[in-house]
Amino acid sequence: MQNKNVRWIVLLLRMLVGSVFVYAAIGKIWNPQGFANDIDNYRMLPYLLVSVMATVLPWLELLCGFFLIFGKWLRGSSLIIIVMNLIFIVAIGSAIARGLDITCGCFSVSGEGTKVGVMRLVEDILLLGAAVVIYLRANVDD
Amino acid sequence: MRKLFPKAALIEALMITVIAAIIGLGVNVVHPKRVSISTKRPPIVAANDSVFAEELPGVAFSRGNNPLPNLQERQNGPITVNTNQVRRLMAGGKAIAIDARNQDEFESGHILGAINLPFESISAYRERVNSLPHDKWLICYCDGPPCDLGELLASELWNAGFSTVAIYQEGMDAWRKSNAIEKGVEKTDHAK
Repeated sequence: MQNKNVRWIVLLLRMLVGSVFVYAAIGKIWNPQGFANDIDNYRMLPYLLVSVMATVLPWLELLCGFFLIFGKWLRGSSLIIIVMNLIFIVAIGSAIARGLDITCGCFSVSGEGTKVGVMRLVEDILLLGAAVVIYLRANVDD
Repeated sequence: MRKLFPKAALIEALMITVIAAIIGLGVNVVHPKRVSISTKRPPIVAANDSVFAEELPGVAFSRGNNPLPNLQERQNGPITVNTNQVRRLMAGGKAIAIDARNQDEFESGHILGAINLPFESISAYRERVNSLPHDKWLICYCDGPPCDLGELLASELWNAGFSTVAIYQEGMDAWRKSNAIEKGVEKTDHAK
């Protein structure tokens, strides 16, 4: 019974995290240049990396989101989401520490989204926690 | 004991990343808003003098009840302007100069008639941003190279929906020099 409850919880987390990442990816796929501007505003990476990230990251989010929802390649997709969230946490934390008043670039691009702040940090930490649970469960199941 | 990062998980992650990279880079080739994969930031289109014609074509954005231009009709981003263009636009009342530096730097001297929108704390100036006109050029500037606050502010305003955004990259350094040479131009306003 306990195992069954855990399965339901993990399924719920998969749907939640998967949906979040699919939603996050759509706006960035629609406007990759806007997303590149958002990444560049953090002033952490050389422009070459910014441009590559802006091109690849949204599709990575979309694929991982779908894989989580449909239950395929769960270890790989949740592992990628863990790494992405760690990067986001570092980036947002750095922006907060430097006092940058910039758009997060998390769910919308080009000034349409919310600003970096503690709430965004908390959200990413929660997503990270959920991804870790999904990964560990997938690792056990396989 | 089960490995925390088994080989299969790493291979899955690698394959997903490769697939995403192939799709992303492939789509980017044909995407209308594609990213330029480069070590240098995309060049900002410099203004030709003809852009600032008497009637300022493209500035009148009154289309019915929608004050904003159609997204497809916008240019690709903010343009750069030089000192002469800034002077002409300000003298003609066709532009607003926006100082992107902090308040102390603004008060130590700014282009006469400029308003202050410190980029690094812009969220505190939302009302001022929302009150900016859409029918005048918004010329963003800071000190001049290497300061890029003007560029960042221009990008922010562009992303907020303003289409007539320009960057005076040479900034206050060039403005002060130009005032030292010519007469009858707008002087730097110093705080008392």
